Amino acid sequence: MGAAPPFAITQLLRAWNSGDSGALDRLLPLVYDELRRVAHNRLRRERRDQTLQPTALVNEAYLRLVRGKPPQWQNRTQFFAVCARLMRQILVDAARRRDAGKRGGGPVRVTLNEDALTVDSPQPDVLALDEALNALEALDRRKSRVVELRFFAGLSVEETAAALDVSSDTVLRDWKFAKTWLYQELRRGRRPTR
Amino acid sequence: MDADPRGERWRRVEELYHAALSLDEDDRAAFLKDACGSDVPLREEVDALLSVAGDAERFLEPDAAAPANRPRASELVGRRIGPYLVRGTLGAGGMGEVYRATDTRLGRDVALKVLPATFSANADHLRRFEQEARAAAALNHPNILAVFDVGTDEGAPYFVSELLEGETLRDALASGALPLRTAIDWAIQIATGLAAAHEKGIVHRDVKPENVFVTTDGRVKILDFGVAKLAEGGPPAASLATRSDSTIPGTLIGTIQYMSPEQARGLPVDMRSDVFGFGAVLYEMVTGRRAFERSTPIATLAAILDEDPPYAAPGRPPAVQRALQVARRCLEKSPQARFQSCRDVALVLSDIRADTPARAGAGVRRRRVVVALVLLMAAGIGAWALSRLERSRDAGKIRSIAVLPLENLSHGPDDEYFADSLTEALITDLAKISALRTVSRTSVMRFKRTLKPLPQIGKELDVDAVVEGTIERVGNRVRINAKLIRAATDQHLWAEAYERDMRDVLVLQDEVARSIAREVRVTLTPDEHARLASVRAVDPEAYQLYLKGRYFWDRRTEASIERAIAYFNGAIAKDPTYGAAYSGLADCYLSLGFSFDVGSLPPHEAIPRAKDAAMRALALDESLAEAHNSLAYVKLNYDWDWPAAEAEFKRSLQLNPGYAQAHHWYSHLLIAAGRVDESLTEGRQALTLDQLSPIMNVHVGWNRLFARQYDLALDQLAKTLELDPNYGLAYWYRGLVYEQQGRFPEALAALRKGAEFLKGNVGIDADIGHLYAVSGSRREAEKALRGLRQASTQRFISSFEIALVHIGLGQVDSAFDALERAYRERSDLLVYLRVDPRLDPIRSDRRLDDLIRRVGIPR
Repeated sequence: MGAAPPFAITQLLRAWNSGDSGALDRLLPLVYDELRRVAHNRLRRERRDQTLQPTALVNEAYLRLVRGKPPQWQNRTQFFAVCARLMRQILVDAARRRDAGKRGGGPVRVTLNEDALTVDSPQPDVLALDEALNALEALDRRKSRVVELRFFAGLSVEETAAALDVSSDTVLRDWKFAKTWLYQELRRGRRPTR
Repeated sequence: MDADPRGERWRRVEELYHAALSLDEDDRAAFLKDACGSDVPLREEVDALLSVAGDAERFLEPDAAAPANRPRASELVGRRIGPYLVRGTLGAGGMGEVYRATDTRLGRDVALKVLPATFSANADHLRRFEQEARAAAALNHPNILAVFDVGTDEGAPYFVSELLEGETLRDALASGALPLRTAIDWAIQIATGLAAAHEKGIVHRDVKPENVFVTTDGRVKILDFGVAKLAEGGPPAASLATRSDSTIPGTLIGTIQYMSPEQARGLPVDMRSDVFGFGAVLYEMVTGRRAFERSTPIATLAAILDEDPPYAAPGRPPAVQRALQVARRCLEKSPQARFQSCRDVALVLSDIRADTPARAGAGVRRRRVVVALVLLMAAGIGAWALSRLERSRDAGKIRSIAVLPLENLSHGPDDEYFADSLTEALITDLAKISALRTVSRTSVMRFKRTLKPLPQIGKELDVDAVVEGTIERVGNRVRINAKLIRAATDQHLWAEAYERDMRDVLVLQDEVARSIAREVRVTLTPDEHARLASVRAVDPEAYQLYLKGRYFWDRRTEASIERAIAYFNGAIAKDPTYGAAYSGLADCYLSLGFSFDVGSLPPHEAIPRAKDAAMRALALDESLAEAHNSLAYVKLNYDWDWPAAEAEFKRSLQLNPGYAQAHHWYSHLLIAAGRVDESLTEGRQALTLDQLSPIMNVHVGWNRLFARQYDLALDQLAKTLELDPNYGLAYWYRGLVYEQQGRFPEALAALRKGAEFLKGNVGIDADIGHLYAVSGSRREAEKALRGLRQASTQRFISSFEIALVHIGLGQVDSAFDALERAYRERSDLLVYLRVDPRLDPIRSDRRLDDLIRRVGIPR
């Protein structure tokens, strides 16, 4: 499909905001397309070992979609909440393609930048995190969602709380525990270092 | 869910985890033992989580890297790391610990930072780390933390740097804004340090108060070069500095606030990204407030991308405002719009510091030191050219000169105007020298990109010598090559290359001013010397805007004049004491308010503004020839104060005898007053100065029409059309002359042709109406009259135009009604009442005499 007219995004967000749940279904493909385009452009454009910054990508997508008409803050949070899941999906897809292409000398190594220096394997990849998040979701859906929002969309604690309609305290506790749990999970089931 | 044993267990683990974390480490075991009882797997699960809790703290946090497996401080104190003996801890950075250590070989104390051994597991990482660390170590600059050594110890990389005493800028800012002098001092040091790094190709990427260290004796050191780059486009790693990390887990705040927009977008960054970070730091030092701080990270990011921090500092000393202007330029969203180098920033700040008393307090006086570089350069070239002229006297004295349009070698959207405006500035300066005839802008502009040989150009312009050159603007640098050439022989008399930083004003001021003084004294009268050397100090940005304004004013369409007004206002906003900008504004309103020019506004709306602007220009700088000329034109056409108008024209011409526009407008006063010979002399003078300008040419034809020298008028108009076959005004005036000669069909053809070129000009429609009327086509004339009335509901049309058609139709009373309306409108066209041949049919009417008297036209 072609580029979505920017106003469509804003309108759909508004409709969604005012209770039209169908709006979200129409919104997602638009946002997904844009996010994917942004991510792929970036992957194509940049050097082989370029790392991705999900939050920068989401932000760029957001700016492109709402260009000229910045919606209200409320919409913005919603938008980023929507993006979080999509961003995760896009990165996982890209990583899978990379893995598939590896045998043929895949073009780009997709790694996450933000945790680049944090785990023993200095650049744990998206797939490992995705798997761990899936495991977390099976145990505690809300916590995996908190991680998605915080990590893939860069929402603050307050924004995450607003998006999930829980208190900031809850988000903080969830976040802290989820991080520890994921960290341990990744260390335990670490994929072989490339 | 509650029945789900797995969910139950999960919640229990989480609960115990949080509870244990809230306890001191020593109490945890007892608590867990008690809480878990015999449930060994539960205990193990919680223990496992707790054991990584510290390391996981920074996991998935975008802010900084977690120090996994970092050596405990206690483990290292007393140990040797390479040749360094660790003596104690200094604090923890984001990535590793910082120690006080002694270099056992040199016996000096150093700061030592050890990174986690795991860091080097990735060969790429390690290589890059060493590369960057070496680059940083190569940065030997007093304002950059000196890195003495890098190495690895049992696989753990370490840094060694000078040991400093002091605090970070973040700490220094804890109590709000710094005293201005301190802020400027420190900012200069930061900018100087960054400039040194940039000149070695190293970008910091994370300029922020946390990364600036101020020693107890006031020296500023930038931290974290090289290290920052490790994170490759991402947030920074950590610093060698001793500092507490104020980042609260769970937020992004602390890193993104100083991020440049391109960084926030994840785009590649260069040194201009550091300029942005610097701007945010400067802003904070001066105001005590962060430039971009919102309640949430996303809102902060959005602010960085789209919003400007408040720059207004009402009631604060001018130096504060100037410092904020510097910050503002650093914080431009587009890297191209920022200062292009930190060196420039440091220079501008030094300038501000020079004006800032060391002790904060009242009485901060602003010295006007910023000088329009381009203007000075122009003057410099002019002076050079002149001195050479004098020196080559034996080869034949040069009395006339033409500056050919400087060839623009750069390609930015603004560069074309810049080259043209610089050409004009150069001409303006040379024109002030009475001993030299300098060909005006319009005439030389015809030779833009010409391929004609110079001797031929010299011949066409009738000058002894020609200045030609190129101009290239790359970012903030300007490069000008200028040559002076004897036109007849194509002999090069002088050549000089200038390359300057647009902002490099202080250095340039001295240099060029001195060279002017030295070179010009020989050739100029003292008065002229003074006038040239005292080129007014002006804010360079304001000057830029002024040049743009002149460029658009010159195009003389309603739209271009609107733009020009915006630019002049911008220049005034930048520098409210900038007289020339007011003069430009005055000329814009003259064009809008006079039917003789664009005439889209009623005079009483536009001209008072023109007058006001001209008066303000003169109040600021009485020696502005342009402003005297603008004022003269107001006095003539609006105030109908003829003696005052003439005095102003004379003053303008005294100040700048080479100002063609003043000769031109003065010639209109003279012809309107019936002083034919003087008018023609002034017109010729304007032409000599600007002989290839269609407007100067065509108005000599206009003056001759009113002098009733119809054949000579036609000759002049034919000459004008040779210069520019598409020049509508020439056809228009030719039509008016033919009409007076009774050559009606030719007149109609000429007027129609003029109307073709001057689309939307209602004056020419009125004149066609008049022609129909006097040539007997009454119906056509009445139709034209209706058309004018119709049009007048849409825009301003001088009632004088309507009056003319009535006169043609013999409707004398209606004509006088219209003339009375024109009088109330203060129509500029009324000044020609005495000489306009089209008014001859009503010349015996006493009402016309009365009108002439009221308009003050001298006998």
